[in-house]
Parts: sequence; C-alpha cells; structure tokens
Amino acid sequence: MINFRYHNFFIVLICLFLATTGISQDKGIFSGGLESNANFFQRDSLIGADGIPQYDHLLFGAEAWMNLSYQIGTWNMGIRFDIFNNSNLRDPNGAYTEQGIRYWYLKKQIKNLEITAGHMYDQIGSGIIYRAYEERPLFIDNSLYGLKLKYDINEDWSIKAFTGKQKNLFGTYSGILKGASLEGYLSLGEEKPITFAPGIGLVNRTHSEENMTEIVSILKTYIGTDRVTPVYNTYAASLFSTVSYDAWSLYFEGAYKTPEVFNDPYALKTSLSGELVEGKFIKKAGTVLYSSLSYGKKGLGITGEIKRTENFDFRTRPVLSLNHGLINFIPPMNRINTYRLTARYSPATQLLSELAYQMDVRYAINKRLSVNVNFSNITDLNNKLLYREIYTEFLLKKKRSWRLIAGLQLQSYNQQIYEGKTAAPMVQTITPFVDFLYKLNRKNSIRLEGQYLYSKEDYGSWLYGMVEYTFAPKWGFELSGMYNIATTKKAPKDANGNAIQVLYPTVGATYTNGSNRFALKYVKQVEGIVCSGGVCRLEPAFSGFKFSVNSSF
Amino acid sequence: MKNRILYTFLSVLLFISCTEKPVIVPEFVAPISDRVILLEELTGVRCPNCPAGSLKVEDLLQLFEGQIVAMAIHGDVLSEPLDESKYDFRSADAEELEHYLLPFWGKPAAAVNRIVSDGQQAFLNPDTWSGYIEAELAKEHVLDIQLSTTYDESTRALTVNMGIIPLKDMSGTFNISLAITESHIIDAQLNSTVVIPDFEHNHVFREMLTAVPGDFLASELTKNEVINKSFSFTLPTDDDLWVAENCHVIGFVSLNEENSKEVLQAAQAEVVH
Repeated sequence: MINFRYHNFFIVLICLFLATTGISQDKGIFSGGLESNANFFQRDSLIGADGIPQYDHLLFGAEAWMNLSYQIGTWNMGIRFDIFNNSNLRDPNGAYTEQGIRYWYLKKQIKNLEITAGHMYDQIGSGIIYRAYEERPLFIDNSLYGLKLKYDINEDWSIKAFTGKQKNLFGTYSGILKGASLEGYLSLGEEKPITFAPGIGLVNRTHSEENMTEIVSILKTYIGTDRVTPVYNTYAASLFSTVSYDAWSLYFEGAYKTPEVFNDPYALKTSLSGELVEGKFIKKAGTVLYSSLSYGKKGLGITGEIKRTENFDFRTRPVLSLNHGLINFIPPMNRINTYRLTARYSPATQLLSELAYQMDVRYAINKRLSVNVNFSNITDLNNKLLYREIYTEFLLKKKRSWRLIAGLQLQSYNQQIYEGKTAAPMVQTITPFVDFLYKLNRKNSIRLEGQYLYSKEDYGSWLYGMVEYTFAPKWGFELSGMYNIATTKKAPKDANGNAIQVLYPTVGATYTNGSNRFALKYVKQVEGIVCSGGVCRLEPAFSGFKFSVNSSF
Repeated sequence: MKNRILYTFLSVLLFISCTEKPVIVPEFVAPISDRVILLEELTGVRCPNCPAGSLKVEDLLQLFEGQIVAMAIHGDVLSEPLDESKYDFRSADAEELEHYLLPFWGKPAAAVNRIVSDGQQAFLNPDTWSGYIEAELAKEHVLDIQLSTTYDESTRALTVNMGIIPLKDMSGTFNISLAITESHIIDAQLNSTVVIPDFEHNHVFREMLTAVPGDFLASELTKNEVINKSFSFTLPTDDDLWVAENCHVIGFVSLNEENSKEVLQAAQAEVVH
C-alpha cells in the first residue's frame, strides 16, 4: 500500500512529467490561483468572542488554497494544495490543522469520450439528487474522488457515469457513490422554436460495513416500533427539463429517493423508561418537486419558483449532521441578500419538510430608474411558517456620476428551526436601506451604505453605516459600524447586569495590483448566520484582524 | 438513434436490478469487557434538547450496566441559570472542562473516553453515543482502577484512595483525574420551548480534585506494578447542594499527549456507602 505522502508526491510527479515532457508540440496553458486568509484573534468576552483555543492561546489561524491547472492538447490536469493552520473555518469553535494536496484530477478527451480521474465537482440537474461542489466560506468541499466517463452521443445528447467516494477533509468517507445521467437538447420549429433540455439522472449510495455497523449500533438500542431495518443501498432518481419559448423559460425537476434510514430530529422515540423524546433514526422514502418559470423582455424580468421537499436528507453517512456529508443540494427559495443587515437572517434549505415559493419582478421604468420586488414564503409541510420576506429595491442612476439604491425589507424568520434556538420567538424585522455611490472623477469614488434593522426579538434593533472610498484601480478603504441601537435581554451586559449597546466596527483597506489583491481589516462581528446558496451555518462572534491575499495567474 | 440512447441508459440502470439481503438488527447485548468508559455529557439548563440527552445517558447506564460512568458538565454554552433556577451549576472547573472538550458542534453532546472522531471530541447526536461506547469497550483493557472512599459525616471530610493497576507495560504521558458529581438535584431545565421547574439533574459535575486536564501520573507503567494515590477534600456546606449521599467520585487515567487525551479506564465510587 502506498503511503499517503508518497501518493501525493507521485501525483505531483505525474503532473510535472506530463507538463514538461510535452505530449505534443503544443506548450499548453498553465493557470492557477491562490486564496488565503489569516485571522488574528483578540479576545472580547463582552461580545462572546472567547472560549475557543484561538482566543485563549493560539491567537492566530489561517487557511489557504492554491490551485494549478494545465491544459495541453486533449489532456487537462489540475492540482490543489490546501493548508489549514489552527483554522476555525471547519469548526467555528475549534482549531483545525492539516495541510497537503487535497484535490487533483486528470482529464483526457478521446474522440467522443471524456475520461476524468481524481477529484471532481459535478452535478445532475439542479443538484437535487447529486451535487459535488465547493463552498470555501462554509468549509464545504464534497468533491467525488473517483472516475467519471462522459460520452457525447451526438452534438445534442450526452451520457455520463461516475463512481467513487465523497471527500472528507484530506481523505474520503467510506461509502461508495455511483451515478449516471443522460442529458440532451431538442428544438422544435424554425422561426420561434420551442426548445427542450431534458435529462434523467440516477445516483446510488452503498454503505460501507463501517457505516452499517454504526447504524445498527444505534437501531439496536431502540425498542418496539422505533426499530427499523436499514439498507445498504439507496437510490435517488430525478427527471428534469428546461423548456424555452420566446421570452419564456420553464424548468422543472422531480426527484425520488428510495427508503433509507436517516435522522429526523423531530420524530418521537420511546426511551427505556417509557418517556418520549424527540429525535430518532427513521426509514422513509424522500421526494422533491421543484419548478421555476421566468419571463424576460427588454426592461422586464419575472421569475416564479416553487419547491416541495419531503424526507430528502441524503448523506454519505447518515449519522452526520449540519452541512457534513451531503450528497445533494436542494436549491434555496429566498432572495440572496448582500447588505449586512438585510442578510442578517437568512434561511437554510430544509431537507425534511419544506414548501416554498418565490416571486421576483424586475422592471426598468427608464434608463435611469428601475425597481425590483421580491416575495418569498417558506413553510413546513404542516403549514408552519419558517420564513417570509418582502423585499423592494429602487435603483436610480446618473450615468458616470452617481447611483442610488434604496429599499425596504420585511422579514419573518423562524429562529427555532434555523438556528436550533428552541425557545426563541419568530424574529420579525423591518429594514430600510440606502446605498449611494458617487464618482468624484474617473478614478475616485465614494460609496455610502446605511441600514436600520428594527426588531424586538433576538438582539433587538441595529443600525449600520459604511463609508467606502476607492482610488481605482489600486486602493480601497472601508469604515463601517454596526450598532445595537435597541437591545434585548440577549445583549451583552455590564457588571451590574445592565444591557450594553455595543458598536461592532470594521476598518479596512484593500490593495489591488494586477491580479493580486491584498486586504487587511480590523473586525468586530456579532454572532450571526452565514449562508451560501441556501446552505447556512451559525458563526460565533469575531474580534480581531483579518488579512487576505488573493491572486490568479 | 433513439434506441441507442435507450439501450445505453438501460444498461446503466442495470445496477439497480438486484435486491439486497435484509439487514438484521440484533437485540442489544452489552459487549463483554472489563473496561469502564467515561461519558462526559455537555449540557446546560438553557439547552432545549438537553433533557433528551440526559434521558439517553440514563438509557445507556441501563444498557451498559457497570461499564460506563457519567458526568453532566454545565460549563459554558447554554449553562447560565434560567430565571426559574435555584442553582447555578457552572463553576470555573466546569467551564474549563467544557473548553477542554472542544471542539464540538453544539449541545447536547458527549465525549466518550475523549476519543476524537471526525475532528470532534464530543458527539452531537445522542443516538450515536452507544456506537462510540461499544467501540471503546471492544478495545484492549490495559489497566484497572480501584477506587475507595472514606467520609466523615461530622467534618464532611472525604478521603479518596485510588489504586492503578497496569495490565501491560506502557509508555507515554499518563494523567490521573478525580472528579465529584452530584445527582438528584431538583431544579429548572429548559425542555424544547417550556421550562420544567422540577427537572431531576443527575451526575452533575461539581468539582475536580485534580487539575482539569488531570495530574501527571507516570510516563512508564509497568504491568502489575500498582500505583496508589490518595486525595482529600472537604465537602462544602450548603443548605441544598453537596448532599453527601447523592455524591459520587469518578476517577480515571488518561493520556496527555499532543494527539490524544484518550481515557484508558474510569471508575466510580459513592461518597457515602
């Protein structure tokens, strides 16, 4: 058996060999990038930035990813070196240290056949039954480590099949994944054709003996009807298509997962004493139905989406929770907000019980003024409200001079469900916001942001202000503050137990030189939810300096 | 062309054509082992799901009778007393111990012999704890601990004698720890969205009689070469708490190395026999 370090060494060697010996006269193309973050932790027990090793004694944490890819002729290859140095990215409450080659692939095109070996990111349909992807801010990297074959049957139709194991840190989970999909394209009509992009996919996960032992060890402690029979194999299939006609586009996908054992945190289990407690492993089939309809004409864009999810927790190892070991990705059904306070409460996609719809309308009244209205509503399948948002935004601009964005957001956010804070009431917010960009001249501009989040729940109301000055193309400066203007009992308290209105400032500068970007910030940040594409996690408060270097070549 | 596509895809679908033999979930039987496992439950009176964790601990104590000892640590997260609380279970030792058991992703969580799995030292889902216990019981039994107590009711003075008997020669950094727990404390506990005013808190960690990571024991352990240690402590006087009859001492030997804090063996004794 090859030692893992030698294994990595051989990968580098193969890549260098292929790159330098020259498979053809073509010299090929090298490209790559670096992303690195360093955090300097300064304990601030007042805001809850304490109690983890980084604040207590490590004081520093960093993470970086450097990738290289090389293309020559019909060969394509890539490699990535990852380093985590007392990083709190994997676990916001812990320190993670590891380094090495965490991603590599070799790809070869032989006529219609494409062969990929190594790590690969991919998805079937919208990802409901299978998506291998990377989301660095959330420490998600569930690439498949295995082999993929893709065959182009003709210009419009292709079929692919893959097998492997899901990545887990610098290794893999023990279960086996395999899948296949057939995707194509059809066009009917000449002048205004109606087009179809249909597809069908299938994924199978086979438990390892190790996984099955783990499941059985849980189930054998259950009594009576709580006991279920696990299966080694679970299959998930989906049927999907995009249908386009003129300015209309319809996407639909239906997915089914065969019965398997998974954790339902709300199912009632009988303990040995006879008491009922929440949370047990159950065995059920899962379904997801998802559809979106959009209309786009000059100046007008309308999108409507609807999704129903039932028991679709599909993981490589069922005892995992949160964002760990997910095989699939279920699209979120709310607006992706970017302003600090409008993004403070963001709903994570629910895997067991969710009914959601969203409507988004954008209309340009003229060249200077446009509006955007978004409404999203998420409930569970028993019609219990989880999330509701009404978002309005106006954009007014004067060409080459200034741009003004202003709007109002109303939210209802079920903190019990999304943050596991069982006793928390529904958070209701009203958030007006304004964003003004003024171009002083061709190179210098100033941007001002102001937001006010009104709420009686959670931490109460917040005021946020930001000034950003840009000396294009190299320098940018930011000064911002988030102030807890109306506190609740969750607010930090002084020695007498009185609530303190805390200011969370950020001061930072960025320097860009070609494809290199350096950023240094002093940050005090309140605990909050960080989301990406409907996948979220609760981040604790932060206090300290953040330094990042990003580069591409 | 259509047929070609169909046949190709159908051939891929073949891999679902077989049905698998049903998995049999056997009746629970505790493994035969002389090991005693330390279960450190991370809990808190403000933790809405922690009653389920506590109930799981009681189930496990019943299933693995005599094979596990349990401590409920109200250290930091979600441990601040409720408005309805009579007592504050937190202490400097409890907070330090909770931080010593990082990383963990939330509560209730439990450390099982302080092994690390998937980067976590305390595991989130109570249903998974039994699997870790079984795996620990399957490991080699490398040392025994004999624990005895003497308690003077008039002075509340407690003496604990601990005898460590290595069953094989071992080298490393070995620490010894001794803790006091208290059970049958009736006080408020959040359960889901409601407060249970008279929840029975059991195995509540009260104090460490050694340093929280343990005191240094030895770097070499020789088979059958007994190491005796003695500890003295006076139980604090309190109107409701520190009821000697409800207190236990828990002793254990653990590794204290850069990559492992694993507990090798634990033992428990009543303060009052």
